[in-house]
Amino acid sequence: MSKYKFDKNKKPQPGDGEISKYKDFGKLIYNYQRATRPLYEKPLYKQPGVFIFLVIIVLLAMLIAHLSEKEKEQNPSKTEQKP
Amino acid sequence: MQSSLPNEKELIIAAQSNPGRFAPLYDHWYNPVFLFIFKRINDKEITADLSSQVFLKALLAIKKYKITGAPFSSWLFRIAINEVNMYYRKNNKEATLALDENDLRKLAEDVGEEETEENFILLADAMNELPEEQSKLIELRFFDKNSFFDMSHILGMTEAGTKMKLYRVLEKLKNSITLKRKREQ
Repeated sequence: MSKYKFDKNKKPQPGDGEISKYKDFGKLIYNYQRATRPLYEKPLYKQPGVFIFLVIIVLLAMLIAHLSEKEKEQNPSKTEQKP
Repeated sequence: MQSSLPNEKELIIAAQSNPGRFAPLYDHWYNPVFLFIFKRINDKEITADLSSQVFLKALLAIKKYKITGAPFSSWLFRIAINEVNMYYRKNNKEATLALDENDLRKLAEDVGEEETEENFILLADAMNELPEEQSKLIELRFFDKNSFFDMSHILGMTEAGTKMKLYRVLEKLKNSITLKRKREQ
């Protein structure tokens, strides 16, 4: 909720010239193109969410591989008995 | 409040098929949107960032924009209100609106109060007691100088409903000031 305060020395509003300094249609179009660019066209390092997701998948795969390796070492008979 | 562009409808249709043709709308509405946000933020750099966000969101959504006869600016100001609210929520800050004599003169007149410093302070205090929906009406009418037609589209209400609600809020402010005065005596 807004709080209202009477302030007779309120900061003056910026003038048209000052506001125009911030106006940049080129930047707007650049941001628009970045926002609408398909996901696969964006470099991976610029998409932290996707990057972290892939890192987690790789780590999980490594962990599973490591655990199954360990299991094999502990019970070598199980796998050797088959043939 | 700035008036609409004479060929606004054609410009919107052009921007819907080619974002590069959004430029005339951007040029025309940038300053009013900037000032609308600046009044609520009071910081030029943050206002510039939020203004960029407003126009980016508008450009991203313009294909879905339906031309209904409502002013294009009311759509932009609705986006601007959301951006300002989001800014305060994200930063855990309380919105503060500094008001000077120019902002409060017409309001004082409509509430039937003399334009004195003491009354301006009382008015600002009384506004702090209003629910957000009601204070927004005062902001849009007296501080942003919107017409009832524009206000109704920004708030998503009918024009008659907007007038009626504002009239009630003014009555409420009047009573609140009278009460405050009685308490002070």
